[in-house]
Amino acid sequence: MASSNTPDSKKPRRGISRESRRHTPKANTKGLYQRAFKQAFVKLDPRVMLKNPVMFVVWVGTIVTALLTIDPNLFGPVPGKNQVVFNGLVTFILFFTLVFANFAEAVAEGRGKAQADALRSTKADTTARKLLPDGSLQDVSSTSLRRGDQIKVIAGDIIPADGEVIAGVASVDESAITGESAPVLKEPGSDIASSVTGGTRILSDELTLRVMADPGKGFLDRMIALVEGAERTKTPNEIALTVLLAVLTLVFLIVVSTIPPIGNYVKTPVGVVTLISLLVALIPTTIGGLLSAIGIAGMDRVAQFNVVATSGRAVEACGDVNTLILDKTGTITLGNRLAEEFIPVNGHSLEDVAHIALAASVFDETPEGKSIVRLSEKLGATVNFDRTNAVGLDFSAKTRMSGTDLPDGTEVRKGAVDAVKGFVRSRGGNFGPDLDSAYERVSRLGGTPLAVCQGNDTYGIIYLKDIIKPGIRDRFDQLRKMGIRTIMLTGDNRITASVIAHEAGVDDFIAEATPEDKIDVIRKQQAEGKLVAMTGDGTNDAPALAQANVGLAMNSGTQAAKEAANMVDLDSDPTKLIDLVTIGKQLLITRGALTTFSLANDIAKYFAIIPAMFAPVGALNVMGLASGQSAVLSALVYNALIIPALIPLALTGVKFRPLSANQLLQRNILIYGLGGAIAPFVAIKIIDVLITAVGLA
Amino acid sequence: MKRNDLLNDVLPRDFQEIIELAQMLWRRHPIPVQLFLVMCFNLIIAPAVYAAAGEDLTKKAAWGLSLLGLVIIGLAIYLFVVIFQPERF
Repeated sequence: MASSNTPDSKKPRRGISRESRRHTPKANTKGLYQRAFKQAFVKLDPRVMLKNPVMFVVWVGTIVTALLTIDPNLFGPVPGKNQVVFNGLVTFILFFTLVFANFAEAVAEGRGKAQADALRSTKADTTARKLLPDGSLQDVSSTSLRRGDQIKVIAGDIIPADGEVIAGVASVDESAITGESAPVLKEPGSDIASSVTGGTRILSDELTLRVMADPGKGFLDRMIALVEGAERTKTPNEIALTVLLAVLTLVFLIVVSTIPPIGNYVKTPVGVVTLISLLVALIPTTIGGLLSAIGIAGMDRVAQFNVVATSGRAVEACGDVNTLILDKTGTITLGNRLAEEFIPVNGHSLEDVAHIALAASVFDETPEGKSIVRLSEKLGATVNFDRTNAVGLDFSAKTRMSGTDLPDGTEVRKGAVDAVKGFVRSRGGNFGPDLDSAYERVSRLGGTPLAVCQGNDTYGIIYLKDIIKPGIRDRFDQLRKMGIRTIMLTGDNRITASVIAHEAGVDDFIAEATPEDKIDVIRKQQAEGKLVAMTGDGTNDAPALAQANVGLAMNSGTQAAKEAANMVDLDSDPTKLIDLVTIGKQLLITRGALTTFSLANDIAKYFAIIPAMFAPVGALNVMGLASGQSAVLSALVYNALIIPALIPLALTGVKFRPLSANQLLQRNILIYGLGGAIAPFVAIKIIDVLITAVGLA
Repeated sequence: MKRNDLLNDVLPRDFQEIIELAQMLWRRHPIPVQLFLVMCFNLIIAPAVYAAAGEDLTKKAAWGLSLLGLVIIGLAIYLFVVIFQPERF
């Protein structure tokens, strides 16, 4: 929930496209491609190649063809002329197939490393003012700070470590990590706006912080580790795809191994180089070479949206989410609920209501409480009791009320209407019908009604106005098209919830929800086999964030929420969950599209090489390729060149379209399946013409 | 270890020392030992290939083909390991 003191430019952005929500890091990508090209050769180490089964088979094939270039008769006599030149050309093409595949991975890793370096540059080793137990300050290095230490930061300082504000109010420039130059107000005591991230700069006033992370374990460090990909493990989807590729490679290896006896039987012996060429053409080298680049680029895209994910698995889970659980205030609505109006009941005057509302809110540090105080003072109300002898009661999800116990023992409360009714009844009081009509009037406007009372006397209703974020309805429509169900959870009453839900276009809502209700909803959905995503920022959200398949915590939230979640949004924008679902789906769609393309290519490559092997069977030469050797070389050249040609698509991802699963499947099969089957016929023919013209075969 | 004790009881001392030396070499230098074992295994395979192919094939080609066969079997085993234990890769 945005504070009412927050500058306008920091309030949630209105009606902005997905691309403009992306924060482009100021990473230095100079020399990226040169470094990636060098790395492509370094990655030829067999210990590295062993991790990619498809490309390892190509690597072994390259070694064998290299040996055959040196001695073409190593495995027996081979028919045909210019065997050394032919074998050498095949070795050269296979070698560059490996280099191109490694290049794709190196470019993706290079971009991640550049981004990590940019983030690392914000983590200068700074001097921190450590608060000692005796109250004095000691200058220490930021690397010596440990979790639990207290530090003081003043205007102009770089915050040395991730922490929680325990005293003071100050503006902080978080542009180092979010790219947003507008300052953010940080203050203690509430579930929001009390967390600070190391590497950001305090602009005004001063803060006392409690360090919440040891060196190397802060959120910036986690973001660096994620984008760098140094310790990246394969995600479940990647593992499944690796198994599929290994199965296909094994099948083709066995098939190709059985061709020589058949060739000998039909008196058309087939050379080992041709067999290796057929094997390399058939195994899915395109997706085999691009798979890791797609995964690394996916993590990079998540970081560009200023989200720290604990693992790639969490990002993939976003793509499979069925149900999105969203809070109302701050997620679907702008969240800066302000007191708009007081409605007196029970014969009380407006001034009476303002007076009691002020008394009930004088200790309330929340934005709502402060706005009630402002509206009360505007109506001429003043505090007429000794604050030092009064006791403030904070809002709790259980009581759904807050208030003040005055020095003379009078209890003043404000909160949810039914909660206040219960309080009044318990004190022997009663209330008239005008309370319910005022409550309904506010609810039908989509506002939040808070009742105020003193002892057993209800004074009136406070109308807290809330505004639905512009563009949110369109985003929910997009999600619906993707088959994702949205559920709005709110502690508000049914009427308010119903009005907001209808206006925002969510599929379902749960009103008067407690923190336990959140977990129950998640468990119920999961019991139906659905994957659930939710956002949260408070300590009371932590159990639900841990239970959800995808839990997105706000960076401005509590440490408990951030530890429980598997992703943290540095922009503290709950609607970011929708972007993450899109990124997750885009990752899965890109893998699927390129796998389809890679397998569809096999049709053309098969029809190029098989006729080359069994030359007398001329009718199979559907492409009219010049000779057996040119056919083999053309297929291999296409096989090699398609990998760098698809690198841009692998890194940027297939363009996301909010379509249903069936529509997506049809679209991808048409473009990448049919396109993958037809395109190589044309490309191989063109390469064959060029090769023959140059005289290479 | 129970199996080693049994072997130690049955085999002459020289053989025990040779086995211990082989185990030590396997731990310290696995790749050269594996290459040596493959070449030894080829001593069995190559003559079989040469005999099956008749006089069309030279001895060098028979060796080469049998090594190639072993490479293919090795690749197949590697791919099976990837299929059943993909998390290792």
